[in-house]
Amino acid sequence: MEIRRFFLFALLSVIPLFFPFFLQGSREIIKISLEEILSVGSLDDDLLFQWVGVVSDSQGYIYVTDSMDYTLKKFDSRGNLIKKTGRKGQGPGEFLAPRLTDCSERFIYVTDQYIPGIQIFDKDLNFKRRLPLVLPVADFRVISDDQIAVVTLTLEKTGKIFIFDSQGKVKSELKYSESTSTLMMDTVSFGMDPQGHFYLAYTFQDRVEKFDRNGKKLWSQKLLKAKKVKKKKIFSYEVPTEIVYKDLALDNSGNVFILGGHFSENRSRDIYVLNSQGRHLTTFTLPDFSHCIYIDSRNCLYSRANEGVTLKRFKMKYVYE
Amino acid sequence: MNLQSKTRLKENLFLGIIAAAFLLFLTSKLTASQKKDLDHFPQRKKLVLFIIDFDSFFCLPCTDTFLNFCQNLPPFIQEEALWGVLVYEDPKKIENNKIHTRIVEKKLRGFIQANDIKFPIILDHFHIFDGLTKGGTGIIVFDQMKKIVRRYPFPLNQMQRDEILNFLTD
Repeated sequence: MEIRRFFLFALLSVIPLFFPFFLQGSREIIKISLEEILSVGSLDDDLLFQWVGVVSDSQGYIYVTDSMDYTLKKFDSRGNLIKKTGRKGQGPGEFLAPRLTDCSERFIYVTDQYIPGIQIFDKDLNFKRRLPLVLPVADFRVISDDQIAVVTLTLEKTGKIFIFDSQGKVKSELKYSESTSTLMMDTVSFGMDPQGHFYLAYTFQDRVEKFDRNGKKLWSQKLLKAKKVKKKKIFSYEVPTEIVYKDLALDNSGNVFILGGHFSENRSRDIYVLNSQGRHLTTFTLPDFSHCIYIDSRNCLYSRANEGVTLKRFKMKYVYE
Repeated sequence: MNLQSKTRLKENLFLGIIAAAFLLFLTSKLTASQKKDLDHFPQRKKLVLFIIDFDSFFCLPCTDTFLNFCQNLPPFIQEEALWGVLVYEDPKKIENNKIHTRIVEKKLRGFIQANDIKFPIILDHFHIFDGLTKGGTGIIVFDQMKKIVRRYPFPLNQMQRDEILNFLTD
């Protein structure tokens, strides 16, 4: 009897110690602050001239595309340049305007604004092959060595995410918009969570949405109450000239981070944080203008500084309610 | 005329012929080197100045048009008479102005390295050429002998390219 009482007492004493862990799952973020932990590229060195895309692999290496010197560069976790590859051209491993990059366990994938397709390199930056895609890539995410999700720029007015296999064949597609609006208005930045859900931030509309893997829209949000973006006529096409949302990234907890553009209070610096249900949790501001954001597997945030000459990595400190 | 006088005359004539031949030789040699200089002299009195808009660095078709044109200029023009001036936004007009010039300098360095540019490009620190890039990157050609200055905005059409090349090699 006394032993039973003892165990009951011990159990009741220990349970409260676990309360914070249980509650954290239901507590939401009310504030995020940034602590700079790495800065790559300065005004005096030749590490980065105009970086565009960034990705970090599971070992902590950082891969960056540099459009000023037509290269793909690999840095270690401390910002030391390990290797760079590429030069101006259209041949294998060459670039005219390297842009987006992502990685799988084995490969690095790079798009080029003026060359169709996606170039594939191994982790030592050796060119392996090109994924043949006909249309320009607006955004893409590597799902695995055999699957890539791609949003293309198209003259069609229907927004779609295509899932390509390693040969460049369409395996499936997700239609996220049946808009009859102007050219490019359905351009999006997107992310995918481990469950296969898609999160979309429209570049030229005040729309943030979530879709399940079957293409069913789960929610849609407007964060900025932005009015219509300005447009400009180029030849016979009317194209938008103001950006609402520049980029989207997901953290390790499934929260959605969206970089604001022209309509934000701090243009190209404000980041809106939503939970996976689309509720706006908080907003924080980058110290410098950025064209993109990236969150790695260690939950570190990457952004631009010094007009593209510097890559910054921040540790994110969450404050919960 | 006696024999001695005839001999002296012959000797003087002979010396005169040798002297004349030597002078002729010297004169010919000078003329040849000067002629070589003279051949290039008109071109040396010409200058090609690229007024490069910094914003064009981020537009591949824009940079390619003037890079391709540079590479097609005669070698002596590229080596001796081609300069570039990089015009960028006055830092006073933008935020973060203290480092903007240094950023532009760094990007210019990267651009020169990546495109293997041989001619000098100078940063327009004092914004003297600001008004000349309103239409984008352009080229100004100077001809001192003919006292002509001409300006052409990029992109050039074929007629303008031919006109400039003829102007420079005329």
